[in-house]
Amino acid sequence: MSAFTDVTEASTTTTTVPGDAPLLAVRDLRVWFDRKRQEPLKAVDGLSYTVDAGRARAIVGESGSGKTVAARAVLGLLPGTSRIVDGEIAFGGRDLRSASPEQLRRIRGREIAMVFQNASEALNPTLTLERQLTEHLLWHRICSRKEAGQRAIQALADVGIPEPAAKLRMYPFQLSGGMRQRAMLAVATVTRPKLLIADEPTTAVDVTVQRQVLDLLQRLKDDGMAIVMITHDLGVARAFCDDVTVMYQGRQVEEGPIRQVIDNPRDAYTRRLLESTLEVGHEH
Amino acid sequence: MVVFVLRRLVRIAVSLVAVSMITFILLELAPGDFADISRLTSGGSALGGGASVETATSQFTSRYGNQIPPWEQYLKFMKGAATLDMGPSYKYPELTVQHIIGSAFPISAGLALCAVALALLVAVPLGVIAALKRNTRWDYSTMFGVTALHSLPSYLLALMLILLFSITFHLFPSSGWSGPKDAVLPVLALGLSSAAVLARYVRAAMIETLREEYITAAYAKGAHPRVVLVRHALRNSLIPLVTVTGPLLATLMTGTVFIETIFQIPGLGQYFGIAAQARDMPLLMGCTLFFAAILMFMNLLVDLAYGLLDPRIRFGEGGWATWRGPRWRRRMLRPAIATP
Amino acid sequence: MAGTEMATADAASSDSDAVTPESSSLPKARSQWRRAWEKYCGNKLAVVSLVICALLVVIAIFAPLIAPYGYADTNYDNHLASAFSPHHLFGTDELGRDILSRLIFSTRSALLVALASQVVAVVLSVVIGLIAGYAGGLADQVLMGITDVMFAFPAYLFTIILVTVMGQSLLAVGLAIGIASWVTMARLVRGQVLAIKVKEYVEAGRAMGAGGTTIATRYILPNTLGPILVTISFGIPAAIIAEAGLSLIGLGVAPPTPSWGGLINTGRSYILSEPHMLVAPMVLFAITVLAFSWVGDGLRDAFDLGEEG
Repeated sequence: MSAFTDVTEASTTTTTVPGDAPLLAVRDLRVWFDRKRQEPLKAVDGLSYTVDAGRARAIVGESGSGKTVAARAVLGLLPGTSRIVDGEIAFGGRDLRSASPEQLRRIRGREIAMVFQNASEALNPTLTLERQLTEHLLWHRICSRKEAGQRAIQALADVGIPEPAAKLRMYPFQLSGGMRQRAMLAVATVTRPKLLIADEPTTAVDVTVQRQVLDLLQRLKDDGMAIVMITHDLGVARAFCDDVTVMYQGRQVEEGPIRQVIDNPRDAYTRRLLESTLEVGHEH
Repeated sequence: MVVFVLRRLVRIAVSLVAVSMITFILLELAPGDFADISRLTSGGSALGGGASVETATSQFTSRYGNQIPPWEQYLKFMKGAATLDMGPSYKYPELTVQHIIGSAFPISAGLALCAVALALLVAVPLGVIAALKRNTRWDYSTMFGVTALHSLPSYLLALMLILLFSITFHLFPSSGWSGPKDAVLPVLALGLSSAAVLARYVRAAMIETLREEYITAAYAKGAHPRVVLVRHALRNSLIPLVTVTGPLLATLMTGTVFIETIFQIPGLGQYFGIAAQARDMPLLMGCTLFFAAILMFMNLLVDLAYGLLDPRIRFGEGGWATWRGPRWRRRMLRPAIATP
Repeated sequence: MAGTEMATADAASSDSDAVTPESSSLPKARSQWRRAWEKYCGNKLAVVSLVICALLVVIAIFAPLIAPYGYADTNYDNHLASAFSPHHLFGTDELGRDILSRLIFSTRSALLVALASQVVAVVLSVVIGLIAGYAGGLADQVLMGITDVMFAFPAYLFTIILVTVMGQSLLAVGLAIGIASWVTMARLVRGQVLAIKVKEYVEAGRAMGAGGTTIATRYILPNTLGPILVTISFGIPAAIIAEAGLSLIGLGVAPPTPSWGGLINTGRSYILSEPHMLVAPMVLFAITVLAFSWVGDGLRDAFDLGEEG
């Protein structure tokens, strides 16, 4: 596979420890939203999980469970009214919570990438695909402009978009919904990040595209990428992820390997979730 | 795109005819004849040259004489409008209507252009910063001032500026049109007034854009905040600004009546005001038609510009056919009563 | 015109007051109004402005009782007196008339003009908007075509022409301004009508046998009152501004009836020697316009109407 540009931060606590240490380790995360004249909303209240390279973790919950907030907290993409009050976020041994904005910026898009639920909204409608695929390659000085163009074409091809060179000059709205979703994935992976956070990647698309997206994610996982998938769909989680964390109203109610949790749920909420989502037979 | 333009031109033509008819009928209803020819005297306009009073009288009689029925008067005028020969002005019989329009409009247009340029220069940074600092004290106080400015008419602002800079500090002249110094206060008045309108819009557009998912996505890619601001947010919120600035420019170009009267600027606005006072029907008709045409062509230009800027229109499926004008444009398009 | 973008749009009118239509039109309207009133009172600026507006109305109504002199009482011996001179708080004008009195009476003129214009505008726009929205079809097309043409007239042009036609009495000026401004309100009304026409309680009402006019007056009209109120409170300063502008070009309310525009215009001539003749009406004018505008802002927030209202 292509070489990663090695990142050596000036003020890292420890260098990347290969092998046993998990790539991403979240411990006891608490994220609160300040509210006027009220107690703060505890969006995430004590979440802990780890993700290793080449493995996928699903964070499952209904809307309002705090799963999206938890995901965005890793990259520091929380809205202004929120703050992380407690907990640790360690990526490759580095503490992300105490990272400076500049250090965080250098990790975003380059080592940790994110894809969003709705590609139509996550892609800038007035910029061409080429711009959106190459701009962060250039920001992070990963390669030259010319090479960036090549990598963009390759990235589009990797996600299965036909005629990638022609597509570069197009705008997002000129692609079909499925292609947009895959293009968004290409944007995220063109920098070969170590960790991909996918926020409901299969929710807004139809079943065939869902299949394609999951296949792509599988390939990425096989290549060694770690994936955190936020979803409310346990069926999707089961089809693809290795471990799962179940969240309910900000709290973590269950955690473990996916097979184990689904076959032997310990928590009542998990059981109810299983009943409702797996009823219709999401057999993949 | 050609179809779009053609369809719009047809609509403009129809609207202009309707406007002309309404104006003509109204002026016919006004006390006094459409052109009280017996009262023709030299007008003493600042615009030099032109024919004599006698030629004017004979011209008038042939077009709008007492024995000619109204509908024929109307048709003669419309024919004149189409051929750009609208005959002499009643108040300034040595000059033809088209001559007055041609000489005076560039002044009004220039004033409007400068004012809009100033407005943009002030409003865009103000609006952007207000959006970035939204809900802070800075935001509230600035927007409060902006809203107050927006509620007051530009002529009031002009008078305040005169009181301040002309009378108290003797910095700028309070009237006249002989040099660049004369332009400062009028442009300031018009510009600041327009800036108030634009600033609120820029702020709202910025806030809305910053909420979009692709802004978060850009941050997630490791963008520097300044890059996000300029490349993603500003770009996308300024494109719609075109649809507001265009009509604003048109409104200013056609709505400088009061400012020009206060500062004694020989623009078309002042002539229109004088024409109304003097019941100068040909000039009134001519100006009305001209202003209405300017407004409508400006809107067409704005729609074209927006279409070119927004790739969804240029390359999109329905393309120009789907383009019916953004809703913001409607707000700037206010009818006769609006504050310019 | 509001700068308060933070006003969250809670679902004011779309909550499930799932009562039967017969009883829903009156109780629903009341609760809606109460809610709006409470919200309005929370806005300090709006409340203060409302007080100011009320004060202005009082001044207008009781002008003859409040003013120390008549507005046409000339006194050439004491003309152009400066401000704070004995007997004349704001001095006198070129004909010796007391400026303070003229200011007080001009409040009356201004509000009368505004009232006349808004009455005309409301009547015209409600009728036309209702017909266009409710009847739809050809009537709608024709009426909207007319509004399109009206939009083609640049600002003030139509008003100026109308005043040329109708003369310069208080009533004429008011009517002219009103006729020129019905268009926006009519569109608003039509929009509201279209929105409400499809709501369920109208269907239910019709199923119960309510005829066209009943539906129009009992269901649709009460719900358009909010936006109409907002438009009126913005229309008042707009009318005042229009009248003053007309005065600047000599087409405002004819003398000796005092109007702010007229006072400002005269004050302009004496700007070098007696600036107070200009400043006093300008300040009063500005306060009035701002007060009514802020009331309009407050109303718009209270009714959750956003920028379109």
